[in-house]
Amino acid sequence: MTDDADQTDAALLARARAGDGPAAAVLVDRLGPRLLAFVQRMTGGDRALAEDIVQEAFLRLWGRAREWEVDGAAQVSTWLGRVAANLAIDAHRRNRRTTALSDGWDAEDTTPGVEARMIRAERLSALDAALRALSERQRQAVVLRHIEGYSNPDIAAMMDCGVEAVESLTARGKRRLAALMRGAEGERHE
Amino acid sequence: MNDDDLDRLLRAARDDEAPLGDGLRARLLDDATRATTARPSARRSPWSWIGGALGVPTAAVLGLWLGLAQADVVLSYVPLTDGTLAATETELLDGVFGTVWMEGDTG
Repeated sequence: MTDDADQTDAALLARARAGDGPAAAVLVDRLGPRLLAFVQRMTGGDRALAEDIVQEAFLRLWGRAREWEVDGAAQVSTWLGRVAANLAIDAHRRNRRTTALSDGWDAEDTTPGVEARMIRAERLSALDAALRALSERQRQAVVLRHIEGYSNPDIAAMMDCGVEAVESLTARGKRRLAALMRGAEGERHE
Repeated sequence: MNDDDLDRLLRAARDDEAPLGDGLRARLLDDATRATTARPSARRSPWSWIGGALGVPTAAVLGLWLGLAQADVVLSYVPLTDGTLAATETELLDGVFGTVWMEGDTG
């Protein structure tokens, strides 16, 4: 029997659609934490909303499992990320509720060494705090462009705006982010 | 922090993960189970085509018989008619069946 960890996402999805629970669990454990971290950034740290979005994204994945081509070019992780991004943007359009980052969401860190882990966690925490200080649309554009690596036309389609608007949002957002990070660094060094 | 530092940090954030937590993980797996078991089987009986092959012509023949041989029964359900055949209609039916058509003689 093939080791689950060696199987592609698409192969695991094919097994999951046939009712293979362990394969679904491996897929959830493989893609879920990364997706949740991304969605939490998109939602400004709203853990409850992020969980709902991740659940809905996976629900759509299970619903699409039957049509998924195991040998096709589409990547399950890319598809999930795009669905989750659209859901996060839609959720923002529907309601503008934002809540503080919940406890216990700190990223699992594989960096060796306690000091290195602490530095990385501290910097990512500062980054998240700075991202939360941006406007909703600036944050979404910056996360999609500079963290997730989507192209400007893709982001424009997701955010239902023009490419120029995306360029403006990402440029201004990144400038503001850099200023906020410099400010946070200055405070730490004082 | 300069722009390069920020770019590096943003790239590092790309690999960031957040633990799902037991509750969310359980919900995701419940959804997977429901989605894969609730769907009706796509497998069909090899004889299922017979229903369509026999059903359609049978329904067509019955409809034709009902409309022609039991015309008064059909007309009794048609609004804005008095449920009887007009003279021109009986003549038409005489032509079709090659016999004299009597009102009410539908058997």
